[in-house]
Amino acid sequence: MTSEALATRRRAHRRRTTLTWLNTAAVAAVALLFTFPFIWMFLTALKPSNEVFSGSALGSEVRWQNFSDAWTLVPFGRFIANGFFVAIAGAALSVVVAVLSAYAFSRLRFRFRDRLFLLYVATLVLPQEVLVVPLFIMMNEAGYVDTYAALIIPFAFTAFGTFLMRQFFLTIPVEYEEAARIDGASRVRTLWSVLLPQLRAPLSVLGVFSFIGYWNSYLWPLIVINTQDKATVPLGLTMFTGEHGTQWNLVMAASTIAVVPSLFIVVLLQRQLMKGVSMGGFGGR
Amino acid sequence: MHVRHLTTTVAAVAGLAVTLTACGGGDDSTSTTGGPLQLYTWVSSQSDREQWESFVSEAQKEDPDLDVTIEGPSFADYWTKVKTRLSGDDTPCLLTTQAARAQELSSLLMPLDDLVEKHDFDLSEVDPSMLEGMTVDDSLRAIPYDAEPVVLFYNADAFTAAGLTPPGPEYSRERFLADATALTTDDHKALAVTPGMFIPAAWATAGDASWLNGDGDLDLTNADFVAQLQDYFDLVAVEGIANPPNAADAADVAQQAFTSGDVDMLIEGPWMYGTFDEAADFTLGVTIVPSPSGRPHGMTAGSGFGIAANCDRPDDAFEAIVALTSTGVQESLAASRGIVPARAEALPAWAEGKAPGAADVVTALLGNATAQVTTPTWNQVETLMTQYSVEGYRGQRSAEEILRTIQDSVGG
Amino acid sequence: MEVTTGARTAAAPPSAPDPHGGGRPATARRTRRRRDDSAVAGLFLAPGLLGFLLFIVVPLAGSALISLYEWPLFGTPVFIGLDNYTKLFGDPAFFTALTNTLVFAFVYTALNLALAIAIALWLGTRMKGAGIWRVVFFLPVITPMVANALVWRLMLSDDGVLNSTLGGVGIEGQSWLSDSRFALAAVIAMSVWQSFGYNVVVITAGLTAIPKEILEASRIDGTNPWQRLRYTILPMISPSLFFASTMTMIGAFQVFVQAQVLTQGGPGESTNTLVLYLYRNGFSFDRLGYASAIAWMLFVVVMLVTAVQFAGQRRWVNYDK
Repeated sequence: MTSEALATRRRAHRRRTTLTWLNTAAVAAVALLFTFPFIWMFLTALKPSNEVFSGSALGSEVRWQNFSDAWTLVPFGRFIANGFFVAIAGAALSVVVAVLSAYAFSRLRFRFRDRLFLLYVATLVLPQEVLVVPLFIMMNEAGYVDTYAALIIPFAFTAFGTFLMRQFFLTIPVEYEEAARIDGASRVRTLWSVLLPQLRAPLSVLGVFSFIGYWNSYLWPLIVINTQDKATVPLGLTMFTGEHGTQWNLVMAASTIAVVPSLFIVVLLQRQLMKGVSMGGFGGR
Repeated sequence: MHVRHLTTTVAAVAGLAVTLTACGGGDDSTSTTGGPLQLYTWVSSQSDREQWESFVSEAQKEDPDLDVTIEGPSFADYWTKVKTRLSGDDTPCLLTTQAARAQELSSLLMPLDDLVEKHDFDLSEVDPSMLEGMTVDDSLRAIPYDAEPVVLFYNADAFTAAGLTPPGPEYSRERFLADATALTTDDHKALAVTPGMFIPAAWATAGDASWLNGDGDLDLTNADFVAQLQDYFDLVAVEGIANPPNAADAADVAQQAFTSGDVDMLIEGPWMYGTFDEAADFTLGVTIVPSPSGRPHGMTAGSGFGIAANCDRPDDAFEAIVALTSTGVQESLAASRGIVPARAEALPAWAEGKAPGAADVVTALLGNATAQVTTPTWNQVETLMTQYSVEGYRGQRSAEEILRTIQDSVGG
Repeated sequence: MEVTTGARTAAAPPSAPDPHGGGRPATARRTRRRRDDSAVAGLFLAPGLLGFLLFIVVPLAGSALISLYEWPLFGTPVFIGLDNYTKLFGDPAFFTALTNTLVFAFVYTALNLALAIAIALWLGTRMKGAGIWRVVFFLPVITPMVANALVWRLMLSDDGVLNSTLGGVGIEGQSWLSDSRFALAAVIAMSVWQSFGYNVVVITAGLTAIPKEILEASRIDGTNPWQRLRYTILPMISPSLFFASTMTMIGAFQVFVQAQVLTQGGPGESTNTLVLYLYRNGFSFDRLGYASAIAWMLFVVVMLVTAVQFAGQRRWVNYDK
């Protein structure tokens, strides 16, 4: 290779590096613009209440106490605790149900299996909103209005989890289990100690997505929850609008607090999230 | 997921569950006889809760045996939730209602006439317009605790600075418009308006128009009401003395514009007096909602306590209501929370600490007042008006068109 | 999406499953002998099936039944036959809500996918930290929609930051939320912002699955980038696109929070949607029967649109690799 060719290559390489950085800067700028609503949320949360509608980034003073005010004006700590409880319990239930059903659909043989599974899958396209009126009436008749159970149980049985887990089960060779079965392990034992350890990633994917679904859910809690004691975070956010209006700076402070757990999830679990989505997790929104 | 992690998570969730249930405050032990009475009401905020708690604690001074627990959703959700609450288990006996919602909740509220007679309750001390507002199908459904005639708040300093005379218990439309025009400049408006039916209803009442016909049915399209509403839209669309509101704005946007000095006038309930006085750094003035003649015709809003239709302890509940609406309680709440009491004898407690003319204006309005009586479909009227009025204020639709649409959608 | 109802996988390698939930069934059967695990299957399926019946099948049927009643929140339901439907078909607000929802669904889905493709392609070019940017675009997907919508309402209000920024550069702002010409567009804009990051990830997965050689070969053939996109990339990711468009469209029909928080369905009925109208009729106006009739209409519309999408996929979705 001649020195001239080397120089050309080096120049090309340098140009490419510059281009890469320019490109990165452009994406960064777009991403910054994209996150502007969150930035504005945070900035507004620090303003005095009568400056919420001013166009400037900072108010006449920076009021960190808005966060503590938001916390005490409505029992926001309670909403967060409720939200976590409902989301964790709901996610756990969804995962258990999905794993058991998916095992049956992928590993067991029984009459009508494929037809039943098709029926499951068909409900993937069913908007949950179609069901809220009868679900509400059922909950009311059963005396479950305004309970955690009403928040958690009805939405833990969507076909989605079963569908997703089954897809994963089908990727695992059946030999491992057969070996265990020959050694005399029960089906539950095989599922628990042979299959599940290989499915840690998909399980956490399903768990995280169920968690997010519960954490962000609004329409159903709005319908079925009557008291602040049981309200979850999205419902709590709307409670700042009272008989005498809305305190926007506090709403934004509360919204900022509500966004933080999602932020943590994204940062900590981004690999699982991205994997989950690309495997068709979460069912689109 | 490691089994160990799983166990930890389960333990954590279980712990959280126990904690949540423990501080849930749910009182499942309420039996049918004795025990505390439940009051189901709106609890939007800690401040709301304190208000209801002070009702109870003040009432306990009258009746030391009174035992009332408080629960409820936010104000906005209350009107729907109360219906589901009553169809559930362990239903509350005491309910709160606004006069404006008494019709809507009428199937939930027990008629009180027999109880009033049985307990020798003297209604003559209670504001008559509010009693009328709480009457559905000729029977009383709730005992009001406040009677709040809608007023026009103004920035007295701005009036003085502009060389205008601050109005008192009389205020004509003509003078109002002249004042407002004088106060309006290119980048400053005199008035703030809100979507929804509440303030326009007060405006129409001041103009002696009503949204009901003689039978109490919804009649939004009668010529008087249409004309009044068009007048009100025109303040924005034609006279330009106010900015048109945003569709999703709650009352707070206008309130904030007023207290921050962006506008000089605001029509609101007198319960806002204390809040405005505290937030504003100008001298707060109060006058009547401007009327064509200049003489007051007030629209009273207000709330009261009623008994759930399926309550099995109506006598206990009524005794509780008697205590909760007593003069002492109203005086105390007038002083601490700024409610305008439904009993005239408690009014001085409200006047205390307010501008000298404030009580005169309220008294004048109560002297010729109509309650905001509505229909069972009012929630829909209010919702549709919130959606459509935005276009009315912008002059994109006429009052006639909007009211016709709403009347047709609601269908009486 | 293609559903694999194939039976037990035997010798399938433990590779990553097909990204789009579709994929080729691994059908190699290990045993030919018919076996029946009904008893065990019953045990495993019991919780899921019970919940499925109780919380999906029964409510779906119940919804149809309730729609034949005048059903108040408090009080006794009255059977009224098809009156709710008669009323629905004579209700202009219903048709406005239906039209708004359809417009929303199609425009939102189209914009969402276009943006997602553009950003996914962009993030596929040479840059630092593509993964981080992808996460940034994904962020609003998992933050509570109520919080997202609240801040947009603040930003888009007449004296909000958008108008004051526009004013700063000499453009007169608009009443984004209160002018019927802009309100639905504002709701769509907020919704696209909220959710297209999801499809960025879906499409990126599709893009990374394209073998490098194919693109290289296409480049050597002297195609320009547009041609490569049109004739190579898009056909190759068409299964991802199909999955994304179907699911996004179904999600779009559920639009509720955005309209409720941003505009309350106004001005007029210009942003009223089927779910908002359903919710209000059921839970604000005390007409659960009427709300159920709306729910059934929503169900029918979603089924129709999805069926059309599935029928149309043969024309453009390419499952061969």
